[in-house]
Amino acid sequence: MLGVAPALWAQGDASLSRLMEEERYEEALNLIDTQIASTAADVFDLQFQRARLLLATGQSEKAEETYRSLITRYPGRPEPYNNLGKIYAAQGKLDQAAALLRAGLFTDPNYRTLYDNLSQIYSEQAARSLRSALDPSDPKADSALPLRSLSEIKPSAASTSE
Amino acid sequence: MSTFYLATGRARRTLFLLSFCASASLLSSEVVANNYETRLLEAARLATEGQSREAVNALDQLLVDYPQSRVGHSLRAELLFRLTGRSLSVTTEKSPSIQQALKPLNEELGLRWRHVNKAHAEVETILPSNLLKPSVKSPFAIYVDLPAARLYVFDTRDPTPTALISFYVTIGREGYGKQKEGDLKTPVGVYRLTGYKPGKKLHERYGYGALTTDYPNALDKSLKRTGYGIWIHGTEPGWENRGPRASDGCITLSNTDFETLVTRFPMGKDTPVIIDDAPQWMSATTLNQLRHELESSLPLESGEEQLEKGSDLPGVPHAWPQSPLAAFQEIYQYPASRATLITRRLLPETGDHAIAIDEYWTQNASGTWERIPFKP
Repeated sequence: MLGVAPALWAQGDASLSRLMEEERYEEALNLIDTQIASTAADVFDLQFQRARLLLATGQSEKAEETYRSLITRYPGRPEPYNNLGKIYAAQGKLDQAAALLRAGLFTDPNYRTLYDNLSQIYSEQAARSLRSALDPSDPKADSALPLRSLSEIKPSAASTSE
Repeated sequence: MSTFYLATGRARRTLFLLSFCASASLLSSEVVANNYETRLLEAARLATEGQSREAVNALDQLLVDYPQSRVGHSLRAELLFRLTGRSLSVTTEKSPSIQQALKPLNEELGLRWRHVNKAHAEVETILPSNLLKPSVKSPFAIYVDLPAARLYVFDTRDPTPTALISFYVTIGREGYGKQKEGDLKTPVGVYRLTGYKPGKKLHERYGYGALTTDYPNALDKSLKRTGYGIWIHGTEPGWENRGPRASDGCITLSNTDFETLVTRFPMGKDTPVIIDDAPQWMSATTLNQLRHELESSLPLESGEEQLEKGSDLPGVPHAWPQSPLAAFQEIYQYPASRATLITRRLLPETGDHAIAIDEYWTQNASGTWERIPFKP
């Protein structure tokens, strides 16, 4: 078993990245589900990839759920905090998004993407507050407006190509 | 890589909006606390102590209850910029119009901050020199400290007045010292309330309502000052309150503060309104001393000839035991000139409709008080 898994892994991953490149997300999702079911190894990377695919196929709620469960099971990994934060920000939940990013930075204070995203949220909130200070009824100052420009963390080169 | 650390490393950086804040104790000696201002200044205190996140949280709570607080929004913007390592002043330096709009907010916050810190630091010198002998008939006196942009309500039922509450106020766009109609200045002087108009009977710019005053008084008229409709009123829609100088000469409060003023401190006609351009705060002991000195040096006899003739009328005793205008009911030091007083006394035995006699006094070179004669 243990000898077989890495081989499967490598083979599966190669086709997975091809499917991703060709934007065949449904097939990629099926492939990942198969891989998760057939491995006894640490599934963080697969689950993380799966969450991204769920989002790409419009299954936002399932993606959120996956990120949340990844945070629960791997609280020391900064990436799920970031990507869930991105989803929240795009829904206009900037405070929750910032809270997640701060929690993510707690696991790794030097993670550039999280830092940049958090800065982006603060800048956006500051800009909205500034608008409110000039005119509290400015529709562009609404704190619940979505912020879609946060960066998503993709699986690192190391975990997809090995 | 360690340069990525957020907030904490930059915590002590001087803030644009808070550059005036030196100390950070926020206790007040006033009897009634102001919810909005207390919470706003608590957030400002957290900000000066470098607790930016806590300050933002406090502001978030405040802005739920006071969504139109532009000061609250601007302080929040400043703090969030600080969390990203930038500053509001640098971010806005290329837009003079934004800086122009932020300036009065900065000034307002500074005035509020200084007030609360002053109230804490100066627990002894708590009474304005003007309130020499306030009315005992009217339970309250309104006192406006123009440089501090502050309206006080004093309880005057006791010979030594007590500050009950104070509010941040907005005054005329061109400051104070009103001379003529349309000069956009707030008058300096001693006035009386003449009535109350609820907001629903007024233009929306008056907000919750308006207390009207008797500007111009006899002294103003003798100095050829013009204008009318100097009111104390609420705030127009779209604003929690205006910047320190934004009215046409009126004194305006936030609607919440105005509501507190008129509902918690019901003030009748003739309530004194002292609008002071150069307040002199003193202790109760000093003020009492001043009052005693004045009461013995102000000539009691009236200058009005016809009143002196009373003794010739049939049925009236030839010799009055004292002047008919016996004691001074009220004595106020007149703002702008420390050597001027305004007094009020009542004609006795006029029953429920006691007739008030207002007199203005000036101190001559030898130190004696003389009435200022006004042409009728």
